[in-house]
Amino acid sequence: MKIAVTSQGETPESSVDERFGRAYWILIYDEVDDSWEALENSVARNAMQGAGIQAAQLVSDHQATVLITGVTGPKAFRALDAAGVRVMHGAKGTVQEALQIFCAGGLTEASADMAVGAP
Amino acid sequence: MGMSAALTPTVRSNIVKLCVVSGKGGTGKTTLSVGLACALAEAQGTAVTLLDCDVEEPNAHLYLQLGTLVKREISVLVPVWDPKDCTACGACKRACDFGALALFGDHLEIFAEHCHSCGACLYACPQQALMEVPRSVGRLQKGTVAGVELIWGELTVGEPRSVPVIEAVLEATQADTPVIIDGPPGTSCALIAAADGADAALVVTEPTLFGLHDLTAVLDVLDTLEVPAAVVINKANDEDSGIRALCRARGVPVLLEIPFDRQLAERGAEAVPLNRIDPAWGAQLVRLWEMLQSHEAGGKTP
Repeated sequence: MKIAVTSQGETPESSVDERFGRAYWILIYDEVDDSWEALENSVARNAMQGAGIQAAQLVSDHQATVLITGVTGPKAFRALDAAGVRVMHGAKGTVQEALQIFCAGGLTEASADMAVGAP
Repeated sequence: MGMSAALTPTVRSNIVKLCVVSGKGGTGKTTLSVGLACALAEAQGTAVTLLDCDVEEPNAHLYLQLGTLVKREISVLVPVWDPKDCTACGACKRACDFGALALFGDHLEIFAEHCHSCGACLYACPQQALMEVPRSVGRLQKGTVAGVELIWGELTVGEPRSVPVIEAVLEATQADTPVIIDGPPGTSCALIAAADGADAALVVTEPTLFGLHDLTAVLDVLDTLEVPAAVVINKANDEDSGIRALCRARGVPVLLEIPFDRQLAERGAEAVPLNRIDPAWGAQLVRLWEMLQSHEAGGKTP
């Protein structure tokens, strides 16, 4: 399984970026070989509109099936849902910590009515 | 409409289509547009068409006791996907400049609210797996009172793009009358859609630093569109904030000042058109229209 985490930097020691569409980086963790891949989220970040949709495309293109982030908006959620990606809200701290909390069952899986964008 | 046909315009005009704009919101575009339309219709027996292109918050109709309203939907064309012919090649997604299409595996997700109806995705698809269907984004209404035909657009709440609704309003009249456009605030796509092609623009500003800033921005846009501009200062008081100096420097005439006045504000809040608050204002507004005809409105002319 591959797990995507929104990040302010390119390493797992970076802080989680609580935004999804406008996140600086998306880090992909691969359980199979315990590795990390850093994706720069620049296309979505710089999009005039629809950043969440573009970021969802990036996550899906890299075969992640779980996303860990702060919060998603309604269109991003619709895109992730269509892509079959489970969405986890409420991530904080470093990327590594957020992943550990997720693995321990400490994050809430979002539903469409929770995807209301920035708090 | 019958009224347009029955009345012959008596004002000989070079300027037939006037767009009232402001940059800053709340300066008095609608006050001026409605007052001017009513003043021309009443004083000169001229049929006038008033287009409310502030489609996110149309309010000119609140000033007019309109008769029977004619309504219709405004739609844009957006793509729909037929999965049975699709090979998931991604050509449609790559063709879209607006991020309205996303492809997840072999599933295409269409975000119609981002679509600009350009048709590039249909053109790009080698399988003809996309077709266009209409999608409602707002509605258009028309009504007439005392020689003024008002046409206004209303963008559906939650829709991000006002331009198709503004274009529908502009296209809804072929009237052979003076056309006064109550434009949208700001200096973005909505303003450009409303002002492009107007014979002149009347910029309503107020003597504040915000007014000055947004006046500068809107004059820049009008220069680019090659629409000549003239200025009305509303809520005029002892302050100036550099408005007159800016107009002088840019060669844009200030044609009217409306004072910062409690009675005008109160009657305006009661939805009384400016020309009916005091007949003197009606005369001033007709004079403003005549000045626009004779005066070379300033700015960069084509």
